[in-house]
Amino acid sequence: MLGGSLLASTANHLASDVSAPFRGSGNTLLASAIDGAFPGRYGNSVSFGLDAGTAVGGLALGGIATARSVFTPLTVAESGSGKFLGQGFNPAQAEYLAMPYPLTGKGHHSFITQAMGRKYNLPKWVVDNPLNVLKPNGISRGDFYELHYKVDPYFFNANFPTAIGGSWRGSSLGLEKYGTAGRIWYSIPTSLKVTVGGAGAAEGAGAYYYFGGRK
Amino acid sequence: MTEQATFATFDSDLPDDSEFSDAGDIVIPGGRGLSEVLTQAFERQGFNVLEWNQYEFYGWQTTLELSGQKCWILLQGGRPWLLIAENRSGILSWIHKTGDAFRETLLAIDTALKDEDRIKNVSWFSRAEYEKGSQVGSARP
Repeated sequence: MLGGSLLASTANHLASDVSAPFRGSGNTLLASAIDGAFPGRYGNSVSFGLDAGTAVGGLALGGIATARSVFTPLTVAESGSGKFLGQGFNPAQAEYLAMPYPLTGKGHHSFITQAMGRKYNLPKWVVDNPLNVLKPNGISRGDFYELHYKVDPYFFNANFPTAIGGSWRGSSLGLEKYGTAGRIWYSIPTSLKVTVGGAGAAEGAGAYYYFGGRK
Repeated sequence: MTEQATFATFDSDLPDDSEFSDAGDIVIPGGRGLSEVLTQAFERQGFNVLEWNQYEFYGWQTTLELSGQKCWILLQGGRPWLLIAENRSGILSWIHKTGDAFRETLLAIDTALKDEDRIKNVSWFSRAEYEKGSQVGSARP
């Protein structure tokens, strides 16, 4: 966890430094392209941009796209039980879903599943590493279920505690699972995006500086 | 070509044995007790049932073996319960067209479920049907 926080903190600094050279006019096209590629996820996020002449290739684009995802909450905490009441849950169920998804929650294992960990006797720190587990900070339980439903081809239902009763069923809410590309993208844990995005952005900034940004 | 129904839903009078942490998150998903009932039901149909393992935070998985066929099973809670079956017989079996053999496996699973007294209202769906939220499935896979 400490490593993850440190990583995130480092990436924050890195991104704020990196974003500066990319600020400029006439740069909304790229941002729009990124938003278009990942609809509904990046609106109202930190604004990055490029002057047309300062594009430094796909690597920078990758870095920026990733940075946009890193610094935009994956799921805005619409929280409050109102959203879940609106989905047809009773008040107790809605309140349960509106609770923050706890840090003790298992999250979604993106690359190394728990079953793989058992099969190959992998240590817990590998399987549960923040780079492998999707568990966005500040997300509500209900929003986490929705995210998990979309990225995990096998997750459909979850029971509420017996005292509350009933169960959560993604398909009843009209949710749709992502296709392969979306599943891969959205199931990548934030920590991993920070790592890769930080490296990509740093490389992009270096290239910008080298190819003419240093005037 | 219609998609094979590999999702079975059913009711059971077994109590929900999910375990939750103090914070309210699922630690052990419901179905551990049911998995033992299913093991007996599958074995009565001649399946070799491998050990059940917890799958992520929401289910229980095992593999069934019958006549050289392997079928991965994922059981998850909800009301009704959901059982997902997937052909895991491997590429060699796939080359030898195991579609019919897999269907035979599914039929044996169906029989196992329906012969078990603690399981009721078995219904089968294709993945697409289930994802769309269909409420009415087929009687057979």
